Amino acid sequence: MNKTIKTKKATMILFPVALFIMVALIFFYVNYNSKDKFQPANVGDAQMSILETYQQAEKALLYIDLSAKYSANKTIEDLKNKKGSFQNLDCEPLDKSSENQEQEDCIPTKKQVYDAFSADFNSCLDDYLKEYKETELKKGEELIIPKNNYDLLFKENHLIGIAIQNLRINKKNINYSIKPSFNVNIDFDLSEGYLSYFKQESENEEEPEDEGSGEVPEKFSTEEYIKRGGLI
Amino acid sequence: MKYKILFRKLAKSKKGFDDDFTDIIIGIIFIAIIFIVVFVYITNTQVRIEKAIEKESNNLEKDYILLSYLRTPIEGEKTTIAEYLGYKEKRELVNSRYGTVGINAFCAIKDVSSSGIIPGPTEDGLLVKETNKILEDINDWRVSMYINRENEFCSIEKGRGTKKKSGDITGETAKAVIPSIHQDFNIEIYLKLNIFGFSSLSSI
Repeated sequence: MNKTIKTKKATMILFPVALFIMVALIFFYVNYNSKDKFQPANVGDAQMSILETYQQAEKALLYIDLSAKYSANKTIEDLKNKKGSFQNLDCEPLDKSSENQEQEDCIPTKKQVYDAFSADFNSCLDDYLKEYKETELKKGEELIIPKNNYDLLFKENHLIGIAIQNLRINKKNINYSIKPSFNVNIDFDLSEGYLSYFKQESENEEEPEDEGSGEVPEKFSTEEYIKRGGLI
Repeated sequence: MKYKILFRKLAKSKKGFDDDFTDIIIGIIFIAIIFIVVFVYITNTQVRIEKAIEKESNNLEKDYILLSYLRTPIEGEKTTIAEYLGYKEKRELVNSRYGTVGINAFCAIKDVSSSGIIPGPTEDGLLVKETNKILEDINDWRVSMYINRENEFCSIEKGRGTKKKSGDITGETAKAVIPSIHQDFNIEIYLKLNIFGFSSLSSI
């Protein structure tokens, strides 16, 4: 090393090294300005795509929550007005021994009311879900919201919809799914709400009894029917 | 010919351009030039990457802000913003800016200029007040509401960065769709933010 420095043999390569450095800098400068080769391509693209997918699902869940609430309101109105599936519910006569039992004195069982509510509700909700379109999806991507997808549960004025299948978002490298269950406050308890409605109806249908009509036929009162396992 | 002779002389003399000290200085200068060029290139690339990431994350934050806004309950009402809009009829939404007989102008914006033959609204509508309260920590934003992406019935904004033209809501915009209880139309909500005016969101 010392000998090399003393004889300065290495210094003869200084000129070619300088020339090489100039060429390298020019090459660098030319390629630096070439956007095609030196763009920061797709940095964090995969991570952003996952977060975007999550946000798209959250927007769909918001839509489902609101649709469920509106569908529940509409179904409750149908129940009160005896429309839709509540129109021709089969019922059990209050007094089976009576031969002249009129239809209006019957009340449907809890299961029948629940089934009718569930059918009407799911139908109404499906109509809402058909109208939902996620426009931020690219070609080849899809968002699937299953239809007729809920088992319903009533608890303390809340309607809980337990989803059977998941909501899915399918993209090129991402498959995301989430259970689109909901819990909405509807200010209505199915058993008590229907019961109070029935009570009101049956009170309106009862005619005042004549004093001199003789023996009064025995009828079940509503409370008696409940004790015998009707609506409960 | 002259440089060829010089080059041969340098090669034979086994010396550099000048004294040893000068050669060292020249070497240091070259190293510095290389270092500066490479460093500037790397830094510039890093800055571009950071800007790209910041832009993408701002788009995600807009989605979060919009969803939070729609889920925020209105003071004095039992409903959220989304439900408040969802319970309105189509004609109520269409007339929300100026109101009419029997229809509340919940999207009316106070007319401060007090110019013109017909005076404008004297105070902000309920939705305008609530929106300003919810998004008060953000400097520059615009919320637009459409019926089925066709008819803009309400537009609320703050700041100078966002453009004031109706219909200019594309680009860096968050969008959400909410249903109406009347089931024959959906309501689309768009939120546009100015990136450089974004600040903390303690109220959401």
